[in-house]
Amino acid sequence: MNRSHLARRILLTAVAALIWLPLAGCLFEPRTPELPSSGQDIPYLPQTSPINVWENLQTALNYSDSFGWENNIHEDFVYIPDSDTQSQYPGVFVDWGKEREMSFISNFFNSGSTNIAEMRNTEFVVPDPGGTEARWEGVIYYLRVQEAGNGGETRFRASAIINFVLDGNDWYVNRWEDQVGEDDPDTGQPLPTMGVLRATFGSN
Amino acid sequence: MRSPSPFGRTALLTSLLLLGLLGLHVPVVGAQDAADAPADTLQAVNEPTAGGLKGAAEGAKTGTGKKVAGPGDRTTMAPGEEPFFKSFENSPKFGIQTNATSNAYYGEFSSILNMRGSARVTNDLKYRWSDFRQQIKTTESRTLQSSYSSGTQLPVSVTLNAGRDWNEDLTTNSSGTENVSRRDNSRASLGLNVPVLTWQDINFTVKSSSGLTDNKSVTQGQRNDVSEAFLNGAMKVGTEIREGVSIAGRFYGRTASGERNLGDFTSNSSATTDSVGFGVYYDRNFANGRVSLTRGNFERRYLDYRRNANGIIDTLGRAEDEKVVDEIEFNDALSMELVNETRLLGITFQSELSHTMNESDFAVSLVGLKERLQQEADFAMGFEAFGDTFNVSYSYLWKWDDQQQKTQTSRRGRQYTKERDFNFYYGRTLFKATDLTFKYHTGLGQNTAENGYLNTDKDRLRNDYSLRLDRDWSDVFSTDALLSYSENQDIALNATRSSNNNNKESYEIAPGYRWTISDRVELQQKYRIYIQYTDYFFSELEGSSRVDDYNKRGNLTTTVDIVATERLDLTVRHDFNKRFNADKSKVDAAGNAGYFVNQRQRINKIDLSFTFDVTEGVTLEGSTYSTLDEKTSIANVERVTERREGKIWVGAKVNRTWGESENMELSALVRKHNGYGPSLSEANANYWETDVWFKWSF
Repeated sequence: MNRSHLARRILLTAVAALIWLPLAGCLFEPRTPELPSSGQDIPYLPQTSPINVWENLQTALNYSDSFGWENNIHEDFVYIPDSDTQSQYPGVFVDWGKEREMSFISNFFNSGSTNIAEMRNTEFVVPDPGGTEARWEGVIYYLRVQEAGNGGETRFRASAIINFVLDGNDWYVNRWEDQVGEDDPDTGQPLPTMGVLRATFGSN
Repeated sequence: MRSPSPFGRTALLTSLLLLGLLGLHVPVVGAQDAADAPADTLQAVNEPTAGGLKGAAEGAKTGTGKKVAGPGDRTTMAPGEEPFFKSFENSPKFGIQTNATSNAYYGEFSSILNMRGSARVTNDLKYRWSDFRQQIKTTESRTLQSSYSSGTQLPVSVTLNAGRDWNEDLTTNSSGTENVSRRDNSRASLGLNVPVLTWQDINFTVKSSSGLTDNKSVTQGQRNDVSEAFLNGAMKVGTEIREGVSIAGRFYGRTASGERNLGDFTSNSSATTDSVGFGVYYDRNFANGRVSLTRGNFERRYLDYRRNANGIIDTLGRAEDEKVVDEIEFNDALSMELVNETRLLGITFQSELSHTMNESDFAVSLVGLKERLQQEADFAMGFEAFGDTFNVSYSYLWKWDDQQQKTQTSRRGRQYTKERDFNFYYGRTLFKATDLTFKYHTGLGQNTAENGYLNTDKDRLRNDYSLRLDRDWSDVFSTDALLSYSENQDIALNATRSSNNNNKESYEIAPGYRWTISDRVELQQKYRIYIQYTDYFFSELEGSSRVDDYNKRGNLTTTVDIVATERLDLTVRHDFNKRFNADKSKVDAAGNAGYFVNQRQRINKIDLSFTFDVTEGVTLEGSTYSTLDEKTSIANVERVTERREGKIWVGAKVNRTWGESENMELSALVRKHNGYGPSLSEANANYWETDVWFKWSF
């Protein structure tokens, strides 16, 4: 390498560094958090099994914590709505991946509602995970959403097929396929799936 | 609110438009199909940041497009030399598909009539019936679709479409409640596309379509019908004002009106939408880019169920006449963007600035008013010199959204999002056949509520470094190695959530090689060591239940591909996976942390697969895997679990054609799956997978 080539390479590297250095210090500095108030842990479980991951989604709903939702959803996540919701919101669920899912959950949690979630019915027998994938067929979840303004309650209850995948050292949900809305345990009326909630908050 | 005679009005407008277009004197110099104009302004309004407004801006640019042969271009064809009807082909097709999820039967019949000047008439008839194995559910669908396109037969391009879709879905939930979801959709449309008209060096493109839709559906016993007629039109105008500099404008409008039935209620429905776009485009000397501005809006009136503040149907406990409302929905959107690319002294500079505003409101729905604003700036620079490649980019996104629900007297408060990302890439060929690449990324995302009312303000910081070395030692032997480090910080700012704040640091080393031992045998091995530490920022505080931890993983994958004979291919693969999870148990006086391993896991998986070509178009294939998963959980007592899982499938693929012009085709894939193991349900452990169809063309 001759001297001019070396000089030019140094110059180019210096240009790149000069662009980066002023940015690094201030622009990418996170804000300082408040010290935690006692007894306020959000009790997430380690993502060492599908059942822990599903529990974490329940916890994320109950605490309206989008970090918790995001951390348990895989990068290749896919959501498939039930046919009722699909026909009610045509076109909304095309290519519903993690980005749309996070947009939905962020908008939903920002609405300020209070959520009570039971993500698994007591009769559901959790299959043992084997290898790097697990599939839960027919798990029934139940979500009650109390509006921030007037406290009115909206309920969602449905059976779903959930696929989990082990990526790195952690399990994630990578496919959520709603099957059909289940009956309200109190009134016996059929309830919608969370696809309706996704369409409402995720389509905007 | 009632619309006067919707069908009549639309039909009249359509006729006037047709007469106007056909009456134009068209100087036939060629045309460009304005296929990139948005089919529906609603789309442009609803998706302001992606395809919609951006597409509209791009669409405006094509108003100045180059002249190419198209509809009405009689200088490029000689109609007298061609028969009016050139060919007519019919293709029936029948098939069966089964898998772990469903069994389906289907039939299709398509016919194509090709005519002079690329004109064609097509008909498609489809039927499908499916029975789902893992739930009580059947679906049935019937589709008829007919279309005519004039090709270059007429001075303007004419497209006629008509179709009907019928489908029914019967599903029973776990309580035994059966839900019927049925849709019957009929539609017809006429599209006109006029070639580029040129006047005083200004190009005009005009496109219009009109049609009818009739959609009948029943869900949970409630009818939901819509019958509407629509008319839309678009015009693009553009000219080159200086060499390499063009200006263009685009106008789009759509109106639809008809009737909607919801439950026992009937009312008129209507929708009007419009959008306007303007842009300056340049491509000269060392720079190219555009500046564009697009505005769109719509107003829709329709019957809808009463909805709560979350947009969910809310009719429980209401009187019948309160369940359905006459809704009016409004939406306005504005988008501006500035895009530039400059290439100077071998360095490419790219920049893209955009601003998008969107506002929507409902007259009745408690969702109320929503506002959104997004601004984005992206800058990139790249150059190559003496074997070095540098790329540097920085992007900044700032957006907010706000809402005022109908029941509230004030707005909720803005939710702000800021995202910054910096990327650096360096690539170099170190010496012969040896490439080095280095990548660095840092990104910070911040969410802030205007009034802090939700206590959900948070930051997420991510840093990623990776170094990769690839070398081709010879034609038959190559190696690669990856070294990477990443850091991911989750930081909730409010005291009620900050106890979970943590930093995840991951280290990875992954060397591998590929060795083509002979023409018939190839060996690949990849070794990967990965470790991730999770440190909770406040785990040392009294009352915190968070415990720092780490997990380690080692993975060795060996793959052997064997071409055993001309007809037989074999693949053998083995995965060995070892994992440890540990919690921090102590920190000594010197600050060194001690960890207690609470779980050890070892997974062995072996795969074997083959394909055997029996004869041309006939292949036998099969695959099997077996997994042994040994896990040791260590708490007060040590618990060891051992799980075995496996699966085997064998099958055949056939693809045969017959006839003088090979107009009969049979395709068949049949596989039998059998498996065992704790994670496999009965439906997934034992089933047939088939995909068999027969097609005949005449």
